[in-house]
Amino acid sequence: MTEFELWSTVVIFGPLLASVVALSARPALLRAGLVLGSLSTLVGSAGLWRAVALYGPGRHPLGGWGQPLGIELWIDGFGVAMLAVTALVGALTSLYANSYFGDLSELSVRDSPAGRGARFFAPLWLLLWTALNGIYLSADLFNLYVTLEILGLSAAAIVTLAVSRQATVAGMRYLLVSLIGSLLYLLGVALLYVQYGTLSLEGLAAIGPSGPIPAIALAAMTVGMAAKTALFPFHAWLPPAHAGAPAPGSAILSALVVKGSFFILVRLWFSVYGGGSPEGLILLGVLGSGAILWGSILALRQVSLKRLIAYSTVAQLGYLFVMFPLLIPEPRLWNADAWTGGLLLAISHALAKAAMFLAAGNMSYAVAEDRLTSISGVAHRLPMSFFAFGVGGLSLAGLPPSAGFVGKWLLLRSAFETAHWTWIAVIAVGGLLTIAYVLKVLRYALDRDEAPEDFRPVPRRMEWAAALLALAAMALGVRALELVELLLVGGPFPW
Amino acid sequence: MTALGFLLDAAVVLLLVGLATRLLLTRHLFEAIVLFVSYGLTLSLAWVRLGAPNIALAEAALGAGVTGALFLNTYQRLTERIGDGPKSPLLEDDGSRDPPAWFKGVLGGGVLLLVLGAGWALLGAGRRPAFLPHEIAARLPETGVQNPVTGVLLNFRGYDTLLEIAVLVAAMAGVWSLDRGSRRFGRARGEPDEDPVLHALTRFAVPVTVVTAVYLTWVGSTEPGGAFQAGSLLAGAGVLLTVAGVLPPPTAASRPVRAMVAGGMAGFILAGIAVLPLTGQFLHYPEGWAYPMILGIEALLTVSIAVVLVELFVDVPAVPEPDPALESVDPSGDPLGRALRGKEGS
Repeated sequence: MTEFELWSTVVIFGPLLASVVALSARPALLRAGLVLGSLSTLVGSAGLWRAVALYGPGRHPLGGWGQPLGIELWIDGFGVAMLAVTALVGALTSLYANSYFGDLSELSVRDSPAGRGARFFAPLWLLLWTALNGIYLSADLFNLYVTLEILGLSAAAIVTLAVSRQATVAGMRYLLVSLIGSLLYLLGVALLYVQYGTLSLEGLAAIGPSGPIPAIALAAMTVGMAAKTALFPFHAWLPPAHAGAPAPGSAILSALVVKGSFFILVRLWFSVYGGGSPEGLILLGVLGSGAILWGSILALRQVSLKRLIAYSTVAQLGYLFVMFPLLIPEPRLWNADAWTGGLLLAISHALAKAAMFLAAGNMSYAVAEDRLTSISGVAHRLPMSFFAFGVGGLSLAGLPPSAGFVGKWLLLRSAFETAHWTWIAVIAVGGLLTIAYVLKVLRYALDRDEAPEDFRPVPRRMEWAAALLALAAMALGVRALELVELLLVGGPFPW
Repeated sequence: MTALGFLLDAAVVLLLVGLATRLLLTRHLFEAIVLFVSYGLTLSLAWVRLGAPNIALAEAALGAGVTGALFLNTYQRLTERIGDGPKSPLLEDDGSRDPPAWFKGVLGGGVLLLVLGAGWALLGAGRRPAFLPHEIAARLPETGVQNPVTGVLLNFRGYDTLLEIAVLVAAMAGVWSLDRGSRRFGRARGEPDEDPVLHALTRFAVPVTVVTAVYLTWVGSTEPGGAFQAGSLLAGAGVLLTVAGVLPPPTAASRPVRAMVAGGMAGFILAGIAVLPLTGQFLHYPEGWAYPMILGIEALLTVSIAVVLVELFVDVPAVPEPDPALESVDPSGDPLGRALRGKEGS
């Protein structure tokens, strides 16, 4: 048993077993499940990080068969970086959720609809966590499909935990979009299997898919994954779903879930198709630019706090797609700055967005409303959440020394080097718009001299979870070098 | 291919296309459900013709049977509330209108292009020789079972099957989380069942179904069968017993039910981890242990699948009533979103 085999087992089956524990739905065991899931993913991803740093990319042939007969897990720098950030965000969000839903297990509300649903947050979230970890380690097309199904079902169910008609409708719509995305992906898998007779990513990359069938397969899978990632113009489902979910759910959906399908897109386009076609990469970059502008402008126009943050997710996801065209100069000769810059943005967005949604959750928890006008003056009562929101927002906008700054700087540098002026303009304008909508929230929160009167005290842990995430987004910028090194292990063409 | 075989294939294909077209065009939900079940049964015939009895069995039991039953169940709840009409009640109920014509056009055109493109490419391109089936046949003796489908599902690609069970558990947890005090289905326990048909059906069909399910689980290692098919059969028996009031409806509140739902997945994971120190890889069965371990896992999975399916059928969550206090007042400012969502919110 190698270190890869040991820790990849821990990181996938730890949270899955924890979901079994949490399914018992007794308060003590709910907490035990969250602790078990958080510990196993933190320890497991640390172990895999160490193994990758020491030995380079590794594998785990499940069942001992190896591809193409069996399924393999593939562990490289990109996957481990996503595992690690998911573990950090996940553990802090679990801590937050334990307090957030804790009230609901009290006897008075236990049998209310919200109380009944709250008991299933932990098992659903642990299943979702397993699916994400499974995606980041998967090296098999069909296995990715199965993990996507777990991800989609549990994510939609988490949206509907917020007991409102609107959240139910948003969750159902999300489920439908998600299922259509999965089916398009499955169509691509079937086409590739018919053509090449293998489902292994490594096997396909060795063959080098080319010709009409693989092109149609890639198109279908890309549309499916873009819909799940809410890439403009497929983003319409995202704001109601992410804003409608309960606060810890919003953080998980916006920070982590959309990254799962993004990860698959990167794997497909670069690791399997070796870069695909330049036209396709440019199209993705154009859609990403559209997302940055459209999402930011709509974020500015929102009157509800969570909607504003949700539209900001639409915009920030756009940056991840601007990475695609910057990665195509020559076949198999890639731009390391674009790669590490784009992925650093994905990672820092996870930390910053989780911090912002949790902080927003604290504010609306305190004033029992989500309108921007109703949070006026809340900064005086919740300085720590205000700080978390601000620091998270600055990291999104790319102010130094945040991880967002390092990511954007690397992305800009790669665009300068290859003289892609259009992308530079988009990145810069998007940054300004980000500052504008973050300041809009801060202005409301600071608005009055005195604090609001109707105020519900917020548990300390919920404040700490948000603040720690925001600090992590900042601190990551200072220690970005280690992450950059990790992201280069394997690179976009690991095989 | 014999002339009879060709005629049969042509009939199945024509029937499939006809049923699918009718299904897509009908505006009545009930008709659509009946067509869906017929389509599933015809599709299982197509699988038989293609020499895939495992898939035919699964399609008939799960695709047509269980899914059809779930649809009928949902239909009953919907019509109780709003009645069936020429328009989908779901669309009418949430206050939105049909998407605009340009959207339908783009979507329809995209799908048509995709299907035509895929069909054209598949017909035109030369395929690589399929080496995986030969590889599977060659190494099947090492899997401990003789049915290649079971070999793939429980050994070569056992990890996928484990995660598929996790999909079922996620669906179950999702449905349970929607429990908003919904009315339950079926008779209360001990209530006399006066329906003679139901009575006779329970008496006769349940024992036969249970025996068949056990047989299907057992035979799965050598012949078509296995946990999914057996589980859905067993679920049929479970639904009958619940409707007849013999068994209490399974609920999330009952600890044995939760244990049975999670038991298959938990057992599967623990089996995978248990072999780790011996062989070094997750789910890498030690020599000689593959067959008993696969049989044990299949038995646990059969129970889990059956309980999940019964519960999905019996426990239908209620749609929450509109509650103005909980509604956010925020109108979405996104014209693209409005086009997709219809008028809702404005």
